[in-house]
Amino acid sequence: MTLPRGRRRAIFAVGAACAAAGAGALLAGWWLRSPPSPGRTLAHGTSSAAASGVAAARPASELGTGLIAFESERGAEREIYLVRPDGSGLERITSPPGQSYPGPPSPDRRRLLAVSAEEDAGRAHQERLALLEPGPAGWTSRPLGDPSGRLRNPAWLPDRSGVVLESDASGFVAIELLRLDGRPAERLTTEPSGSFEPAVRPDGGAIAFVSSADGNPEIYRLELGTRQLSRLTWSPGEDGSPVWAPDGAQLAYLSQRHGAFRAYLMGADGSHPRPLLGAHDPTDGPEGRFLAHAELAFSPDGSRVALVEQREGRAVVQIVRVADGEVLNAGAGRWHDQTPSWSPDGRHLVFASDRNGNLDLFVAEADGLDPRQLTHCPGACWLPRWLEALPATSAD
Amino acid sequence: MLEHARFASIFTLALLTAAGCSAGNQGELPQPVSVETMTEGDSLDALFDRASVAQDVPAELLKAVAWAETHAQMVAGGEELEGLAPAFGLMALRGDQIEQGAALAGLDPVAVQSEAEPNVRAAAALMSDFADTLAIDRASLGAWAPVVAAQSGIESFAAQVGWVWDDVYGTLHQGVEIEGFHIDPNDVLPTFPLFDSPPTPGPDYAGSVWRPSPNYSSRPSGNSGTPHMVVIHTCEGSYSGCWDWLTRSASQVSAHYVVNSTGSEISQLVRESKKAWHVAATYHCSLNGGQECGLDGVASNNFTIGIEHAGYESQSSWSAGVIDASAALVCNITHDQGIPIDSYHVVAHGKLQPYNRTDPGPNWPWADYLAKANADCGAAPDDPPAPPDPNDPPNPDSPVSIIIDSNQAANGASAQILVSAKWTASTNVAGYYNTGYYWRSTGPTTDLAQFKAYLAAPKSVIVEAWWPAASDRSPDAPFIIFDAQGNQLDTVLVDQRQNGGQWVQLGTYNFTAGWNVVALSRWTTPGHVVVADAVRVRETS
Repeated sequence: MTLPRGRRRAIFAVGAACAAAGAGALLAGWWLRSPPSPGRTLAHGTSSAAASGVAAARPASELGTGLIAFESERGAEREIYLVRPDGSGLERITSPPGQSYPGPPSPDRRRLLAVSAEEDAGRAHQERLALLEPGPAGWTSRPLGDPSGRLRNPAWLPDRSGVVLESDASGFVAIELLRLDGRPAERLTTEPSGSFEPAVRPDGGAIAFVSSADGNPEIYRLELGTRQLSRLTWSPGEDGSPVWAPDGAQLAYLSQRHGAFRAYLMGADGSHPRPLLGAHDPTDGPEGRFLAHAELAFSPDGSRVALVEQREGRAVVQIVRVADGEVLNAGAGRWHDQTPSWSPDGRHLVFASDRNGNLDLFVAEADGLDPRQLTHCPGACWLPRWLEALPATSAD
Repeated sequence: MLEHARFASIFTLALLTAAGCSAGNQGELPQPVSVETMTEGDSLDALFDRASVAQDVPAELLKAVAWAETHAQMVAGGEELEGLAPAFGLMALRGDQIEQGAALAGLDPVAVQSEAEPNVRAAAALMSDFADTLAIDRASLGAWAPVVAAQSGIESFAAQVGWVWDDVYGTLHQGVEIEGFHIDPNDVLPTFPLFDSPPTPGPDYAGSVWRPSPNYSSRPSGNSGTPHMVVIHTCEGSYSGCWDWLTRSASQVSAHYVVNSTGSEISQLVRESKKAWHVAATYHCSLNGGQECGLDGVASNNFTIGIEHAGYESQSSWSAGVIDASAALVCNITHDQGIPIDSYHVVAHGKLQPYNRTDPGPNWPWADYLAKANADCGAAPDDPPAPPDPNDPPNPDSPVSIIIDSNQAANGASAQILVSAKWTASTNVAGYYNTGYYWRSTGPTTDLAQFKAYLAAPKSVIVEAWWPAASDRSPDAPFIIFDAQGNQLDTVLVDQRQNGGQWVQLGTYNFTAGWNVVALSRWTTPGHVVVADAVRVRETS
């Protein structure tokens, strides 16, 4: 083939769009040429296997418990579905009008926030926050607060009394506190250039968020009781996407201080910022030019961080041990992983990947190894959120 | 203008006729046949040669169209522009073109949409059909220009001119040399009219061409109606087709700016102070009895400025020219509007969805792009600008004397130079101001070099320019003067063969508060170069 590399890729992209099965075969071929890690495989080429068949290969106890909520795109529909980790119990829990996207699970992992986007009177694009709860007659959706043009990045208070989120209800992208008891939303930030990505400290006493008020994006901490504001990052380049460790003593975040976005850790007061991967910090190599880290997620016990390492032509979920920065699932294929989410017990991880052609969900062990395909969706399935198994009723 | 009108009506007739012919003749067309497909070792050149022979359409013309449409990449366009069918293949065939081209060439429409060779064959068949209808001389490459215009589907005559002269025949003129795909440079001129006067610069960005769209409305008052974000879009098609569509009233969509595929030209369609309809135009007035067509209520449009870029989200790379030109535009917009240049305020279209899985676009070089925009605005990415000190505002009463150098690093906070990547930096001819200058050949496209001066209060100022003189310089280099509201105050023609190495007065003008612009155009007598070196703006005593 004498075509330049770029054109080959473009032609392939069309093929993928029009013949997903063929593209899947090609990707599987790529995987076959990737060296598996000793003892365990990095991926399964299960493009044609039924979900139940995949799951049946292992004892149910190894498949994880609870429910996985996710986004499923079917034609123009964007709705939230549930599936058990063994592939059974597929259920749609939202419905038109509008398109619904799963937000974070409640702290008890038994409820789910959702953002739905729809048109008001056929004219205005509006978004609404909703609380999805299981009930005797199935899942119900309860609207929270008023609809607005943009509602982003909702995060729960740990006592489930409210949610902080980005909203444009009172101007351009402010962070608001929305109590679930029906009180009007309270605006927490007033910076004209906007405030972004609120993350609630696990004790509920403060939020970390991003603002460009001082010239470029930096992470700030706002104490919710005293409203005292502290700047946590001081680096050139962008700092953003803060995520609290479960004990509230550290924050993981993305920083551009050395070029590409990399995962960093710092103390809750901004002290001792350091690369999460330490000596294992990624470099350009035969696996491609390093582009960025993204989508940080602490394991429930705080010992690990799942992230997506983006390189040219690929993106791979990696599990990083916080203690020493070691990547536990080294190895990469030419595919695109995204949106990792931990199981409540921390034993498993679910993420979306196009490694078998279509974007589907995969479940891996806590060390990122042995991913198996969970869904075989007609369109893209992504944005998984792992919930606890449901109690008999939704009573607290 | 008579000539323009005549051409426009010919094209309308041609389009109608061609559409009718295709439908009427369908029964006589051959059944779909298998087409030799690309094999290992095959090249795009061979593919185009086969299509050329099959349909008697010049191979270099087919290749020039492919280059102008897709940079010879197989695309599967998204529905970026509401109401405009997505484009497919090397030739970017859309909507009915796929069925009609397939029928004319006797091919399977699915293959025409998804495979390279059938796609080119179908496009060649469509062009051949237009050639018959227009009765052109097939042996004359220039005579194919009306076919190129008709094939594009572009309605606006001005956009047809850009498509034919700049995009397709400009490609023939410059040639293309990549592995397996060659177009030898060719001086052929299209048999197609050309505008006889320079276009008007955009009101908010003097380096742009003003092509006003009717598809805009007022921003709401207050913070939610103040521009806070720049939204990056891809046209999913060509530049001329893109701004043509966005300026049709029937399309009900728009953007503030459109950047062409090389960065050599930018169109401004909507004033930054107005709301363009570029984000998820969910309201279709056609579904509401044609009522309230100006009332699309998408909140994101209220506080965003939209930039479309010719090309496709799926394309594997973006030219340095388009990234440079767009970054310079982003610098200008954010500087004027007080928007930070970072990934929270300069965002991909997809990021406006509640959650998105395609942002940032796989191949748009976000990190480089934002770094360039920051650098254009005088801040290196590792040295962010200090926040403004509210206790130290500029004193509006102090005498104004601002030098805008072609070296942006030498400029103070009140001075800015903006040039596209098409301008060449040089120190070849002595007599330049400070560290060097930019030059560009004269020619009939707008690509202004902008010297911008910020005034805190209105002033009467003397404007002077500096250049290194030489014999190849333009005898009538046009400097165009704008105030901060975008009002064109004057055009001054200077002879850059003379008076080098000194300040030469252009005139005395009433500048207004904000960014006033002294722009140097290349649109003047061909065969010379114009030189952008330095401009001084000083208060009259």
